[in-house]
Amino acid sequence: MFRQGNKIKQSKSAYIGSVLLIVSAFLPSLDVLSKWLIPGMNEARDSRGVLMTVNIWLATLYLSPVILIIATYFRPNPKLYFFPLCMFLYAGAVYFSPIIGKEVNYLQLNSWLFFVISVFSALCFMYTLRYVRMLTLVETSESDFHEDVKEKFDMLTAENDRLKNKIRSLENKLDENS
Amino acid sequence: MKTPEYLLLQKMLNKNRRMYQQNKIEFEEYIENHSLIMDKLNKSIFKMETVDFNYLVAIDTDDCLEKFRKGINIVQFNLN
Repeated sequence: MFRQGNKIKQSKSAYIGSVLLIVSAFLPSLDVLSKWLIPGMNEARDSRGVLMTVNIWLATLYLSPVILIIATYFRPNPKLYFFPLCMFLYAGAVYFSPIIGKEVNYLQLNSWLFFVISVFSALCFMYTLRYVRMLTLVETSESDFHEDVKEKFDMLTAENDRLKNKIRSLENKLDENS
Repeated sequence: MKTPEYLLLQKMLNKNRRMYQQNKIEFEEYIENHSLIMDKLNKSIFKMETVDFNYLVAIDTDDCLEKFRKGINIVQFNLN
């Protein structure tokens, strides 16, 4: 159960969406899990000579965004977007780690710093989005407010002119009578 | 990610404007409410108590002026 919009959301679709989000986040880790769980998976190759783990990794990598897009249609808990964001940042950082000249492996102890940086980056990203949303709301509501104030002032100015004209016409009438 | 408090304040802003456009509240009250809500919105930390949160959610579909004013009071004073 969580709040979505102004309502408390407790629907099956939201649960399914949330589960799909988490699945999409951890799906690209399937090759590492298979290495841990299935003996001999490290060496297994397909008919083209490509490692099975690489095949699994590529397949899950392409499948994961599809699941992520499907999950959005179920209106999941928005906080759970943190997981795919964090895991993809982490995977990207680990993949490009040879640039810094260090050997870093996915879901291994030597990548803890990358993981911490990914978590921190994902949190920063989400908080920045939240801040941008707030800024947008502030700007929109301010512009609406300015429109209303301008409208009111125009109305008051028109009323003021009308009253001035009325006073002037009354003064003219008084002058004519005197 | 939109927080529930953010969405409530957004709703109160819209409701305030709608009330003014329907001539249910005066211009002075509209300005006062607007500045109050904007002030809360500019404070990034804004947490509602559950009872008040539920009250504000409930007035979403209600256009009663008294309830709206009570909602504005909640926004003004219920800052944890």
